[in-house]
Amino acid sequence: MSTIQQNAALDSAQRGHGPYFWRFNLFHRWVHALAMITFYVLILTGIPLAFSCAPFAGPLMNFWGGVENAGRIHRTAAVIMVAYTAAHIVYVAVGFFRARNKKKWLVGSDTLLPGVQDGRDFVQMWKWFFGRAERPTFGRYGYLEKLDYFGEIWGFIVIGGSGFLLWYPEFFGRLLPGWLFNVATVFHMYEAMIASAFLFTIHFFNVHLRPDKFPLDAVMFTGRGTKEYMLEEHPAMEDELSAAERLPVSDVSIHDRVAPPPSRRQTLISVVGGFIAWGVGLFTIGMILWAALC
Amino acid sequence: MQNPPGRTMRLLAVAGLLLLIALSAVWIATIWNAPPRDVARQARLETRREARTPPLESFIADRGGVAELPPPITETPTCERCHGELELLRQHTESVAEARTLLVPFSDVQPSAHGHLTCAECHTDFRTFPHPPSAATQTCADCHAEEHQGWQGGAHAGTQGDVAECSSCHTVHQVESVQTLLAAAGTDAMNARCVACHRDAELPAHNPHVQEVPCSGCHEPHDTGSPDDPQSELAPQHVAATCGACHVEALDAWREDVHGNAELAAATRAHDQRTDATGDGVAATCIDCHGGHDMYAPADTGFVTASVQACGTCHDRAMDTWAASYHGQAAELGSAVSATCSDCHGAHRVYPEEHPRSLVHEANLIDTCSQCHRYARQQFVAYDSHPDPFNPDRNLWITASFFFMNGLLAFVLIVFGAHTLLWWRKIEKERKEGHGHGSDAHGEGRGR
Repeated sequence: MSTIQQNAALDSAQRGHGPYFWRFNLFHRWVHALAMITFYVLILTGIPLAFSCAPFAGPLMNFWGGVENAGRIHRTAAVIMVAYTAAHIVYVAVGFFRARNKKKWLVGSDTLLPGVQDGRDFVQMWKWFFGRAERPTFGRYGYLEKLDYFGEIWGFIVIGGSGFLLWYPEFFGRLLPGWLFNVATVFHMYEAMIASAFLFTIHFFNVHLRPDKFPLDAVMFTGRGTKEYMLEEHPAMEDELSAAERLPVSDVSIHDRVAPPPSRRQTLISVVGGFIAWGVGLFTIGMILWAALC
Repeated sequence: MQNPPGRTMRLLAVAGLLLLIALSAVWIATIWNAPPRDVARQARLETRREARTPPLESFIADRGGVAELPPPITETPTCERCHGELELLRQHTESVAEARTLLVPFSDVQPSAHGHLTCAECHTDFRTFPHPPSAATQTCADCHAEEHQGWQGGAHAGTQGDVAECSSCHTVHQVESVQTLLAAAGTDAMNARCVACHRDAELPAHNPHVQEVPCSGCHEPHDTGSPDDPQSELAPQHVAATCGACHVEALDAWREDVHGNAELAAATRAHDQRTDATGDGVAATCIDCHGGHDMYAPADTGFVTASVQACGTCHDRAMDTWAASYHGQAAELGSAVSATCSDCHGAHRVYPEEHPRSLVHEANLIDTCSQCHRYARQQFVAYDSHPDPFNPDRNLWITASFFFMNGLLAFVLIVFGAHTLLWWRKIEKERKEGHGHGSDAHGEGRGR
């Protein structure tokens, strides 16, 4: 693709000078895709129940085939979520045990675990908003990516845990006092709303709706981004990327290796899929806002 | 930079994923075809269905109807010679129409309920000719004194001019007995006379009384009173007895429970604010909960909505808190199996929670919840079906978790909402100032 075409690309990860670098491997992309699908299914089967007084609740429930059917679909998506979360835990554990430098894995610049630097970046970001500092230089994962990740972990524990309790109340009712199911209901519904609110405003804004990335950032679908994109979003990776640039192009998605550009078909699928996904997301947040009035 | 996983790792990963998929599929399969947790509403209602006396017999007994009529007279009366021949009548009248009004063939009268009477029994003044106008006068009151007296005191003998007299509802010469009419032509035939004037009063199709009970089954036909009239059979003081003529079991149960027993109702009302009802006497009558003409059969899904609204008329806080719970949300969205008011509190045997006969008394809760939740135990039934986060005395944990989570939600939205908006503003500002971020310029003058 010529430079001009690249800069007008719908996918902001494909804008700017190349070459492409791998950022997310096949496993990351699959888990993220499954997460998207299951999140939408869980949220859309749960919303009519949470906002049963809203006018869209009845039609949406009928779309799922009634309350009982929606419940089955909801629990099915939850099971899938447990499955890929388990797979992810194994993946991370294996990655940790295989890492040559475990300390670096935990607290180095490539880690997903939050650290002091993230706190500093957070403060600096607010200062930058008001023109009192430079924009923070993020590494591989800035504090927003870490918030996304740990928000999801916290959400999984709270929503999944309370959901599990509510799924088998007679079983858990042998051990736990019944009013705990009332509390579980509150936690389940509100944590889901927090997660939805976070995803559809903050995550979406940071990834897609920011004017400098609008209308889409498909790096999580294609797995790769141009050098210019990578340096703009994650400037602290400059050294790593320069080193990797000297290595041959890799067809397999290994972190930071130079990648071939995504095929036309892959770009098409990523862009279309991405638009559908964030369109559904905005529609969902619209419904939640509408329902909050009832 | 990581090395790509070797062959062994890849095989293990694939095997692990397949195992995960298999386990998930098994788990999903266990829930997919599982029947709803409980016995469906329909079945529950079947087990609770109360016996009713068949409407026709009790209705006739109630109205003092005659079971057996005397046999009709067989000898053709003399009157038939003129009053059975239209040509002859025409010779004595001004018009054919007038002649028709005098046409009363004996073949009409003989099979009717008056078939055992001769013409002279009602038309006493016929001995002179031309017959005086008084010969046509009806003397229904001479035999049907009780009904006549009732009618005189009722709304149909009103002074507003729209009087409905005997012949308005009963065809005189072809009058049928109640059982004949019902058996031959059903309730529609009887109701046709009422509906002729009371056009809006026809029962909707979902009313279980339609085709089963005629208007006069509930509304006193002769001494008719409006429900506002305290003497009327549909006034709150009397409606239970009217319904109870057929629904005997329901009446007996209701007479003892908190809605029907005035002492229990008063005693309960005295020490709690669970209801807004302020009336004297009974707390809620049949029509209050089941509705009148607009009632639904209990097995009908329309009944659920209607009855919840009915309970909520007095017990509004209970309805609101139930509607906010899972039971309420699912019911509101059409679930046929979710618990509504009468599933837990009973229908005609409602008692206050402290009363040992109450279905939600702590000693009875396990049985009540077990209707749907098998294996319900003591801890399980400590669930609050009417969670009220705004009432910390009811359950402090529910209140605390509600306010904590709302606070957390507000915090997230405010902090990260501000973060998003400020970032957006910053980008727009930078664009205007010509910095590289977000503008179409690529790579020039990045000014970091």
